[in-house]
Amino acid sequence: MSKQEKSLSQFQMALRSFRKSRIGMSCAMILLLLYTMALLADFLSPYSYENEERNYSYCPPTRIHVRDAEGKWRWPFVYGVTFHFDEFHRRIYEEDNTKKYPIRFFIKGDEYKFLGFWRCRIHLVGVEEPGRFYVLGADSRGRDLWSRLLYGARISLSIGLIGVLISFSIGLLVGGIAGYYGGVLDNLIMRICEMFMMIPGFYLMLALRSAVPDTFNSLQVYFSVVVILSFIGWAGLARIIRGMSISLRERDYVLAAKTMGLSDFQIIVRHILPHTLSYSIVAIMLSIPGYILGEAALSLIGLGIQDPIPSWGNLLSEAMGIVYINFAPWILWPGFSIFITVICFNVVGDILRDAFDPLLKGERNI
Amino acid sequence: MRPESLLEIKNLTIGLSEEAENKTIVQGLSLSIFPKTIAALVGGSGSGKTTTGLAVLRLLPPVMDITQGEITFQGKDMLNYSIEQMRQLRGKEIAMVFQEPLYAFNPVFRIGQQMEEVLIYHCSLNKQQREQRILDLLDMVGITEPQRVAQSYPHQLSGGMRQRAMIAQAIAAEPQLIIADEPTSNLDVTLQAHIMDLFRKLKERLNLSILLITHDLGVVTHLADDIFVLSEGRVVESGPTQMILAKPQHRFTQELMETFR
Amino acid sequence: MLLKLKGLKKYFSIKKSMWGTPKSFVRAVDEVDLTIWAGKNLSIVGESGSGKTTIARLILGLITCDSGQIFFEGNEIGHLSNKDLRPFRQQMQMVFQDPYSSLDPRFTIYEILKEATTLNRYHFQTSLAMHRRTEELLSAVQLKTDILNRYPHEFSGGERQRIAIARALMINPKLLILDEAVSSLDVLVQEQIIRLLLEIQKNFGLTYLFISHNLRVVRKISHTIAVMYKGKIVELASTQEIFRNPLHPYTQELFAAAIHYQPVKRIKDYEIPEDAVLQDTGNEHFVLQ
Repeated sequence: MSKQEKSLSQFQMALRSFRKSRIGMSCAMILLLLYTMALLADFLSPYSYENEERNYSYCPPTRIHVRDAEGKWRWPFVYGVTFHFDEFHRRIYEEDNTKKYPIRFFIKGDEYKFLGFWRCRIHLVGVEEPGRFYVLGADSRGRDLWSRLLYGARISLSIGLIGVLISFSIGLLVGGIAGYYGGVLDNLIMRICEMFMMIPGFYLMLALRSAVPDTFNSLQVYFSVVVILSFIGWAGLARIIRGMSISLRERDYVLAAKTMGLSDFQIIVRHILPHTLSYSIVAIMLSIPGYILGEAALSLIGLGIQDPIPSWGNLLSEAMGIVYINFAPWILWPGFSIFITVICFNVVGDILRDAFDPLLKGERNI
Repeated sequence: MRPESLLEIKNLTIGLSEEAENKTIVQGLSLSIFPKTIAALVGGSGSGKTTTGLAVLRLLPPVMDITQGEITFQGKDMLNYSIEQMRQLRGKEIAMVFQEPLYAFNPVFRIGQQMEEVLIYHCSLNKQQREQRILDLLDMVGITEPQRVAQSYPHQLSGGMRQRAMIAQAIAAEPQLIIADEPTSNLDVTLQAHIMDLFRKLKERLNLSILLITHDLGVVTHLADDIFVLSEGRVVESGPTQMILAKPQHRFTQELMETFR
Repeated sequence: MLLKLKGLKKYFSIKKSMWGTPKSFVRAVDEVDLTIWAGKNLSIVGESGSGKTTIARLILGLITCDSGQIFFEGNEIGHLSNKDLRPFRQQMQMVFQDPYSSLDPRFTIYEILKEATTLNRYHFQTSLAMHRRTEELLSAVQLKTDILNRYPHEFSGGERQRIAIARALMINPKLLILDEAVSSLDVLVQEQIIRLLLEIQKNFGLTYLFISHNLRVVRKISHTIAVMYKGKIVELASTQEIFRNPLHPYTQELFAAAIHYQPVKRIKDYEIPEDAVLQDTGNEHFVLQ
């Protein structure tokens, strides 16, 4: 053992192994990017999520030009937009070459509270009024889809994380305690888990949601949804942790801890649960997509986050008619973002599982 | 005049092909095993004895490589054998017995079934003959109820019985050489004595040679005809057992003898 | 007198009837009487399944006995609750058989040693006190103090056992139970550890209860030997005496196998009459008759 190398714990060795995987790192980077964008949504989006402009209903994405009508190079700009109705009373938009709006950075726009504290008006990009800059197009009320997508990321991505953390905390503790003590307590807890697992998840979700009072405001609804989702998820993990706990409690270091006078709770928390972490972390990574999709499903049918607050789920509900998809295909973007997020979590979870694997087998010398 | 050697290893070097370190596990190792002899490869952990045993049957893990040397069996160069030739060799000419009988058997198959696999692959006997042979083999290794053991799953047998069953499987295709890697280390002291006695009897009855890999000098003195003492991948002393015991020359051998006193 | 076992019994049920009442038992520990005197190491030898490990667990309070008494320095500890057992736990510690699973791989050596002071937090409140103690013990087991930040997987089996011994000594127990502590190490390392244990005994003044099936090793470290078979002690005598003159047939078989590697043809298991008691055959040499 070379003396210069810093000692690595198993955890650090697994992370090192993870870092070697290019696809794993790329997906992790993408996720990090998505979460950062969600955090800085106010700043990155040109408009607030409520900013409507009915005259721009279903406006296609604005094209950015660098050459004007005469062919001269100019600072990137967008044209104004005019519309007329066709035979189906749909709007057809055309660029109006007479009105040019240069793209500005750090422009003053809708007011927001940066990180919830500072009142601020600066946005990263935008165009001056009355021009409109739609990166990804507009929805039925002329709201900028890109801005709403960013704000929606806040809801959808955070629900995944918070929901999973709650269920896993419950599941770990319950499973650890059940496995460690065994006997009647174990039996009781496992039967309760099975009852939870027996009920089809989606229907349980609907039932719990209907129990939430109508008078709740958006924030309360948000937390209700989080709690509902965590309610469904903890039982499966508890069972698996309980199995691991049963085999771990026989290990010599657990017995040694007992002879050294540690209390049962200390033993469970210090010696047993940490050894389930390699499984738990992977299970967490692979479950988050479930929570994101759960929220999306609820919001899609109108039971989750309500308009005007965007979530990827309720943004997708606008895309429920085939006419609209044909007419304004950009409204599928929320679906695509859910897709990317779920894939990235799955890849990261998979690669992490491989990274932890050789260490799960223990470290016998050859 | 000693007859031609059965297994001859000359100047064997096995290295570890890890990124950071280029360690050699076995360095310039040479030994010879003659027919109807029990030769012991003795050393501490990390001395390379298990690695050598695995190398003979080309069962080394992918991170290890034979970088130098010759392994000859019955005069033929084994290192140049194709994969198919090695498969023919394993079990039929050279068999192996492992330290932990619980892991050497597949837990989902009965003992009889697993032993039959060896016979199907290497011998041309019909079903009835195979079944009879399995019972004969189990009887030969001292199992008193061969029928019951053949029908049992590995976990239903005691450690001693499993070890005997593993030995029975090893001698099934009538090999010339058995490589036994710490065959008694996991067993109780009384069982150890029985297994050692079994090896002695099998050597006589079946004209077998055994390469015994162990760290226990006690086992060696009562069982082996020749000793090869291994330290850090090299053979530091070798010769007939009685001679080495009477006058150990290398410091390491002397240390080993000390523990035995 | 350090430790005394009186009529200790522990049966494990293996078959339960439909109603949960046990139908047949394994008599792991069957009416065992033993005394350990301070400074005189006792070894319990026997095959696996003879009950020797169960005795260790009973003494430490890891499992509760069905009947019988355990006295530590005159105090009855066999039926105490975990809480009441605490002051006694400080006095007895154990070193386990498998060096690969007795140290939690997620903890550094320092954390492992620190955890051992849980029962005696008062004396180790300052990190200076902790450090001094760890230094003292690591040098006692002949390991360098720069290993404190390392993890168990970086050490060999023998080194890990030394760390386990250091851990057991952290709060100065009077009795150290070694349950097959050297059985999974190779012979040279076994020798080192035995020598180390004898050295430590001289410096720290504790007593060993050594459990093993390896007679060669047991001979080097014990003053008294007790032979166990099927949960009962069949022979008890000083080391010299028992090696010179094993009396019980099982002991003779054990010694023949262990020392001369002679397999003994056992027609059937040795029967032990229900009323057999350990009787002194002279010279404080007890045999079950």
